[in-house]
Amino acid sequence: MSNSISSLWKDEDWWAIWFGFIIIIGALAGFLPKIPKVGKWSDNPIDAFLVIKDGVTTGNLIVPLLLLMVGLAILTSVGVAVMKKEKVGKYLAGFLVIFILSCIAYWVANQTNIKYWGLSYAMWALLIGLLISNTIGTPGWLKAGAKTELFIKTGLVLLGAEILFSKIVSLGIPGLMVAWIVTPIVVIFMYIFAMRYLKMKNKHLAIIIASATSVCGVSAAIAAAAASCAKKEDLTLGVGMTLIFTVLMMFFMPLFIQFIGMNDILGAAWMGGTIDSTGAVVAAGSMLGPDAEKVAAVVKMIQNVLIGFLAFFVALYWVTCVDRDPNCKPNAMEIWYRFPKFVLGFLGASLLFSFVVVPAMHGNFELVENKYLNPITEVFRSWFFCLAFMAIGLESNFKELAERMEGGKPMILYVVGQTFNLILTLFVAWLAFMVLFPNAI
Amino acid sequence: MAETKRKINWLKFISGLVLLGGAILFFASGYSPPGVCGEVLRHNQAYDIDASPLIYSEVENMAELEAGVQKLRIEARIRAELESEKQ
Repeated sequence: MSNSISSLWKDEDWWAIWFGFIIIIGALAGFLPKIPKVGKWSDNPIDAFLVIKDGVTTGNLIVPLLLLMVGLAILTSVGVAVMKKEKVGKYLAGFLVIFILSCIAYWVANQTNIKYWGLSYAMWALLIGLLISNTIGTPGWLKAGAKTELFIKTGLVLLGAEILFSKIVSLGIPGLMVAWIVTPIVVIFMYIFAMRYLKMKNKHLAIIIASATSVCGVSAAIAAAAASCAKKEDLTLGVGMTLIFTVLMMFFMPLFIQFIGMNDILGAAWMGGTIDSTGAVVAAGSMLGPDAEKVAAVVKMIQNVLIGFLAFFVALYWVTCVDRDPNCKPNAMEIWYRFPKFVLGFLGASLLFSFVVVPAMHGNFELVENKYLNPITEVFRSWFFCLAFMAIGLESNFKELAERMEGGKPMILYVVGQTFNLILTLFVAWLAFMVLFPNAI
Repeated sequence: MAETKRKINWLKFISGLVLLGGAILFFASGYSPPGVCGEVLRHNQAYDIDASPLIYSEVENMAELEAGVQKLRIEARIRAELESEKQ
C-alpha cells in the first residue's frame, strides 16, 4: 500500500494529473492570465512576436513568452525534483533550450502559407529535433530536459478539457454512425491485420498507426502511444506517416469527389470520417462548398471525442493482455497498479468540463471556450505537445527508426488500413445520409 | 580521428539546416503545384483556410461551423415536414 501511495509523488503519470489539474483549476478560478503563443505571420517574421490589433502594433510577445518559459520551468521542475529522476539544475538547462527550440518550431508553423499546406508545429518540432540528434547528437544536458512522457501526459490531461461529450449529438444519429461505428471497427481490423497477417513484431507501433488512421491522426497517435507505453521512435514513425498521408488526402479526396460527381454532404461525411487531422478536413470540406465544410468538420469533431475511450481501452488492453504475465490472470489490484493513471486524468478533465463546467455556464459552450479553453488550457496543451515532439526528435535516431520499419510493414498497414477505412466509411456514410436519414441535412 | 568525426557531424548538421531552411522557404513562398494538384492549396490561400489544426478545438471558426450544422438540420427538418404535408 505504501508503494501505491508514494506513487502519487513518485510517478510521472500522477504528476501529469497534478500539473494538468493545477492549470485547469487555475483557469477556472481566474488565477491564470491569457497564456501567450507565438503569433501568425506572413511576410515579416518579426510579426510572430508582436501583438498586432487592427494593423497597429500594441506590444510584443517576448516578455510574456519568457515569463511562460520561467513559469513552466518552475512548475515542471517541482515534479522532477520530487520524483528525483534528474538533477533540477541539469533539467532546467535542458528545458530552457527545448522551450526555445519549440518557439522556433511554432514560429515556422505559424507562417500563413505553411498553414495552408497543413504542416503543423508537431512536424517542425520533430524535424528540428531529428536534425540535431542525427548530426551533432543531443548532448546529455539537453536530454536531461527532454521529459517526453511528462510533457505528453500533461498535454493529454489538458486535452481532456477540450473533449466534450455533448458534442457527439451535434449531427444526430447519422453523424454518430459515421464517426463512432466505423472507427472502432477500423482500429480492431488494423490491429488484427498487423498481428495476424503482417506478423508485425512491434505491437505498440501497430496500435499507434491503427489509432492515428481511424481516429484523428497526431492526437490519437499520442494518446495511443502514451496508453501503451510505446517507445519514442514508434510515435515518430506513426506521426510521420499520418502527417504525410493527411496532406495527400486533403489534396486529392475533394478532387476525386468532385470528379465522380458524388453528393457534397456524402463526400463531406466521408472526408470527415477518414482524413486524419481536423484542419485538413475543414480545408478539404471547404472545397466542396460551405455546407460540406460544416458537415465534414462536425463529423471529425464527433470522432475526436473518441480519443478518451481509445486511450482508456488501449491502456486496459495493454495491462490485461499485452504486458501481463502469461502464467497468471491479473487481478483488479494488479490492473489498477499498472494502469496508466494519466488516462484517468484525461477522462476526469473531460467529465469535469462536459458535465460540470459547461452546464454551470448554462450550456454556453462558446463562453467556456472563450474564457477557459482558448486562452488558457488549450494553449498550455499545445505547448506541452510541442515540447514533447521536440523532445522526441532530440531522442530519436534514424538507425532505430529504420529498424522499426520491419521491411515496410508499417507502411503496408497504413495503406491497407486506410483503404479499408475509406471503403467502410463511404458505405456507412451512404447508408446514414442517403438511405436511412436522407433528410438529416 | 575524433576531431574529423566531429567536423563531419557539424558538416552534416549544416547541410541538414540548409535543407530544412530550403524546405521552410519553399512552403512559405506561397508556391502551389500547377494544375489539379495545387487546387486545394490555392483554395486555402484564396479563402484563408488554416489546414494545420490537429484537433477540433484548434479550428478558429469551429463554433460557427457547428452552429451552421444546427441550422442545416433545422432547415432539413422543416423541408421534410413541408414535403410530407404536400403528400
